[in-house]
Amino acid sequence: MAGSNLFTGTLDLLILQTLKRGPKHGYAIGKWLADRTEGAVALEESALYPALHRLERKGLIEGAWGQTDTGRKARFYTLTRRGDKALGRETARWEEHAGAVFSVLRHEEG
Amino acid sequence: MKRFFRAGDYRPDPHRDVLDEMQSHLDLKVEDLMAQGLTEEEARREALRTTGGSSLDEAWAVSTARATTHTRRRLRRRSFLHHIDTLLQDVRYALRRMGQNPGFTLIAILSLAVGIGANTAVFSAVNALFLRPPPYHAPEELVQVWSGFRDRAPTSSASWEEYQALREVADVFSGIGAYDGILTRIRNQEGTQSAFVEAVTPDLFTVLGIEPALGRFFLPDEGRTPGGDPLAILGYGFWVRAFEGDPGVLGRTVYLAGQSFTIVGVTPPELSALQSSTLITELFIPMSMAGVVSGETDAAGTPVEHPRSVDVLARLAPGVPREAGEVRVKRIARDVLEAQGEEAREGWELSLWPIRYQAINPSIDASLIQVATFLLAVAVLVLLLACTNLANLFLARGVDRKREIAVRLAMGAGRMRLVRQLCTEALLLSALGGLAGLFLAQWTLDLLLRLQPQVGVTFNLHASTDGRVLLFTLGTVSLAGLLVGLAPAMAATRREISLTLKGEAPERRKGILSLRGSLVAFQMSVSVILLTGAGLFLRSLLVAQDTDPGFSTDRSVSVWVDLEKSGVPPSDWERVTEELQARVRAQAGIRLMGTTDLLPLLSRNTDVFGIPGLDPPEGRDGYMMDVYAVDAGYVSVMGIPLLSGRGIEATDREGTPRVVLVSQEAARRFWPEESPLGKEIISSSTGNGYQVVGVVGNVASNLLRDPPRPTVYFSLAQRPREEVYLVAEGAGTRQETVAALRRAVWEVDPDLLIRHAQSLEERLGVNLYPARMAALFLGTFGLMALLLAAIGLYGVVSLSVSRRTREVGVRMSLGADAGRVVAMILGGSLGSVAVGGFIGLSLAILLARLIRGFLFGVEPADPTTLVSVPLILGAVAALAAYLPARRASRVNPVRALRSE
Repeated sequence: MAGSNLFTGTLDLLILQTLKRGPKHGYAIGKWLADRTEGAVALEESALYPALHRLERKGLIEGAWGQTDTGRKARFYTLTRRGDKALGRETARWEEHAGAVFSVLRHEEG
Repeated sequence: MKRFFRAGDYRPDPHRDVLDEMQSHLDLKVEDLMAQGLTEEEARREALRTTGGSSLDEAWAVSTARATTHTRRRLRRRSFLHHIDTLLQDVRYALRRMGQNPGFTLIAILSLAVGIGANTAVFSAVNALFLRPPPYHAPEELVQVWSGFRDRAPTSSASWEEYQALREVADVFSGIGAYDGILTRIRNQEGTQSAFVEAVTPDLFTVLGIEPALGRFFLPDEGRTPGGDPLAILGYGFWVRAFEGDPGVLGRTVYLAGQSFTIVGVTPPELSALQSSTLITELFIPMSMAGVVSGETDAAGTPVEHPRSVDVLARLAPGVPREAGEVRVKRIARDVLEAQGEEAREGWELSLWPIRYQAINPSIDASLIQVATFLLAVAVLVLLLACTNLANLFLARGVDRKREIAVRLAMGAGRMRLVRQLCTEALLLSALGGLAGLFLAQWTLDLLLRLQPQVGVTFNLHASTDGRVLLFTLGTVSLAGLLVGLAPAMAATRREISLTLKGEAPERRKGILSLRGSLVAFQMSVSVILLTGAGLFLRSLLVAQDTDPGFSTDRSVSVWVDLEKSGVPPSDWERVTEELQARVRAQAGIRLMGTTDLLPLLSRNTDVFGIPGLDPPEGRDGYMMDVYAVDAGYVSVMGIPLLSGRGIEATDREGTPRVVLVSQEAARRFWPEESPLGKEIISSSTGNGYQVVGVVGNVASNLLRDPPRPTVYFSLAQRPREEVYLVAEGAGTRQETVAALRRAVWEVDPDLLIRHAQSLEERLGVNLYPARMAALFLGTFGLMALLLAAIGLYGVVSLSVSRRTREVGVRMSLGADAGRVVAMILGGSLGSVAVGGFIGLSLAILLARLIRGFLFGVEPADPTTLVSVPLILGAVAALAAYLPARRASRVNPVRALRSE
């Protein structure tokens, strides 16, 4: 169970990273992540939207209704300044953490 | 949480907002799919299918769950539908997966069907025998009186005197009645057949609290005077079979034992027989007619007034516990014995048994329970085997999907949801297997009944599928489903995510003690046990079928006429027998015919003989031999070879010298050095001397497996008997010959009782029935077990191969050849096979002793079986492991290494 925070955090991190390149709606976020990871990260809606809403509550992202290129109504999410800072901080922490984990794993495997 | 509420306050309708977002998500997805070339309808369907209603619902639920209490209440209302939706989605998902793998699905369903079916079949039989409540009013108040020695399972019913004494104790019982089962004969249009009737005291049906389906039961004053009130109540089944359920049957006459009875009623359909739920009673008659129908007479030849012993059923008075009743009853039994001046039977006592869980009588029940336990153990073993096997395959597939599952877990999919999804598939398979198992069980029981040998009474193993059986099957299905699905699902969703995401998680140490290794070992040992059992029974059957009974069984048929039960006085036996022989000869198409007082196999008559010039064995009067009384045609119609001398001839009659034939075995044993022809033997039962005039071949007298016994054939004309078997070989089919024999008997006297008519082959079949059934069922179980073990092993080896692909690649790029790789993988897998095989074989050798009594010409430690079973299993296991191992050896090293 100790690991679960780490991975919830991972999802948040992925979402924030996705939004760094500009506002996106939920469907686009999921699709972008899936494309980038060649389908390895297939987000279920049941995981994606609660994460978005959680991030919005924390003030890391901001949601607003807008229109897509094709004229459809969608809720677009934008990275806030607070979110941007959090992204930088968390990325560093994650890398550090992951590095530690990997070094342990490699050691054991060798 | 607090912060959210504040945030939520800014929104006019938070969950409405989220719903809009979900709708927008779907729309975008549809649009996206359409851009990929799908029509709108297809895209919409696809979007709904892949995301499903439920994933969005879940998102909506989580996002809004904490919004307001109002929403929460609405959510709860929704959550039921949500669960249904999730369930349907899981079922769809499972069905899709099952459809993708039809071979696996079929094998899974089949193996579960066999496992569950076996359990259901055994349980149905147990249910019919012991669990189904008897069709009486408040059966828990009813007790049956049994007698026997203290501290032993009683075997006898109560004596008539005990019954009379019990009737006096009004304060223990609120009602008491007695009955007695009688095998007698009934005359109908086709001749006279045997019938099982029960003589009852008039109050018995009242005690039981049942109502007639038609007419009435006996009145309180009927059946009190011996020989009076020739009335009959038809058993429901008999009414339907013999009278086609004609309601106008009341007042008509039936002939039992040559006596006319007036039909006054029909029993309710639930009541098959009083004596036991396994018999069918054709008719019920008043106790007053018992002596007339049974043919039991006193010394003067008048029918007895009442049976010597009766089965007593009583209803305990309100508030009287059975134990208290029993104390009273034991005292009464003592009083009765004292009144009769009997003191020899020390420790003989009466006891009260609840009738609820009683099949036949307490001591037979005990052995039935033993057999049922044995069968249930075998069935449970098979089911366990099927379950471990499937669990193993699920485990393997779970590991295959571990990466997918890990990602889904990491992305926040609920573990329970995943476990549920994996379990749904197992439960679905189990349910389908259970359904098939129900049919399989019913079919098996029908088959058993159909193959039931003809023995004179009709068994009523009416093991229909009732609610209890369904419940049992449902329980078995759920248990099997959980057993198959839960452990693999838990294992597959265990959060070893970091390892799995990184690449292949390192395989845990493989060894013979790993989980999968132990499963394989377990499967192998169970297979060995079941197959050894099957092999032993199969060998018995083969030995038995090859055993020459000493007479030919392929052409002749026989009809058994019971002169004594037909009411023919002993003085007329010879005359009636001669008439029968003449009538049979007169029938068209009869080529050969013979007569005997007993057919070989199943039972035998014996006599003790003095042999001049040979001292009797220590402490005996003479030598015991099997005896038959036959006519001139018997030896040739039976195909028994005449080895020397002459056969019985028509001239060997009363008044001419008494002659006998002896069997080869008798000749070998008593006159080893010389010809027995012309020797004399003295029958100790008649005191007469008989001259040996011929020697004939040996026949199997009782059981096929028995060694030949010394046998003597008298001339029937010199020794008339109460029972007559007419054996004939006809020009037509066996059925035509049987019909001709029946016609001949009818022409002599329609009242003659034909106990049964069968071909000699059928008679042999009765002898082989237990061996056949055992070989059939254990053989099926054993083959199933073999198949399951092979599939399981194949799956496990395949899995380990796929996980060692990289290792194989490395080895091969370093120059290992294909043969080495195959050997390496085989070696790793066959270790657990060997361990399992060894354990199974040791247990099988131990367990085989328990079935020694059922075996036939085969020792429990039969070398053929004990060598061939492990060999066959080993070969199958090797093949199952070899196929995936060979696949591994063909791995392309470069591709294998790239999978890093």
